[in-house]
Amino acid sequence: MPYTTPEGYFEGLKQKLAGIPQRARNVSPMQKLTPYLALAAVFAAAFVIGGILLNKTATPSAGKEEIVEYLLEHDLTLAQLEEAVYYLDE
Amino acid sequence: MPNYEDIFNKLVEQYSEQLYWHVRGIISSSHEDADDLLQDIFIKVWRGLPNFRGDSGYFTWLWRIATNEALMYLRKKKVRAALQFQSLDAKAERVIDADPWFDGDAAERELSKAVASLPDRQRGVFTMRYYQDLSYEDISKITGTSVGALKASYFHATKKIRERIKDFEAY
Repeated sequence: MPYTTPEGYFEGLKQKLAGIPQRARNVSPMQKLTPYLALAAVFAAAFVIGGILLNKTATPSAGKEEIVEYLLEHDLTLAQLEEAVYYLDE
Repeated sequence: MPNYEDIFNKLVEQYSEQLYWHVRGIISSSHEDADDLLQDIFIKVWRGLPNFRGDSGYFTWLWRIATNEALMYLRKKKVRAALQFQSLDAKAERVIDADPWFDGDAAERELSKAVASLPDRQRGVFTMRYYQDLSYEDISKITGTSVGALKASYFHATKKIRERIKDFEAY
């Protein structure tokens, strides 16, 4: 390959690389935990924001009586009404 | 329990120089970039050492990590270049032109630019085959690609390079 490196580079490189295990041991528990804590914070924030948005946008569900009234107002057969009541009672 | 630090130091001693050239060939970038990337690779090696099961030799394992990291580096670089509306090929050519550690004649510079313009995977295969003289079987173990696909990739890479340096040879 038509490239060179600075003089003595590979000797310095080996020394630098050999220090990796030592540096890895000196990492504090907090430094190790930080990425996981950040991830947990992101999930918590998404959960809270999602909950708020859902509360604001969701329409309240209709009550049982309202549903029965709605069904009665529409021309449903007796069988359909019975089926609806069966599901509402479940 | 094996002494991982001893193993790691032996790997550094035995392979760091070769790995530097492997990485530099794939990323076709500056010495500084290759140096940074090599450190990241060896951090990964250190972390992965306890999980190394020995299915493949250390050579294949190291080259696989380095190749994946180099390709990942290129992907990130492409995204960054796209965000700045720049062409990575043009940038790579400028890096080669301005590289204080380039040590070749005009023809070799042109070849380097042609290699830099190859798609990432083709460049990886070309670098391993042409510059490092690895066998297709070894490259196959490193990349997880079939020998047939590698041969096709190398064929296309050399064709593109020939096309590109044809104009240079005409002068």
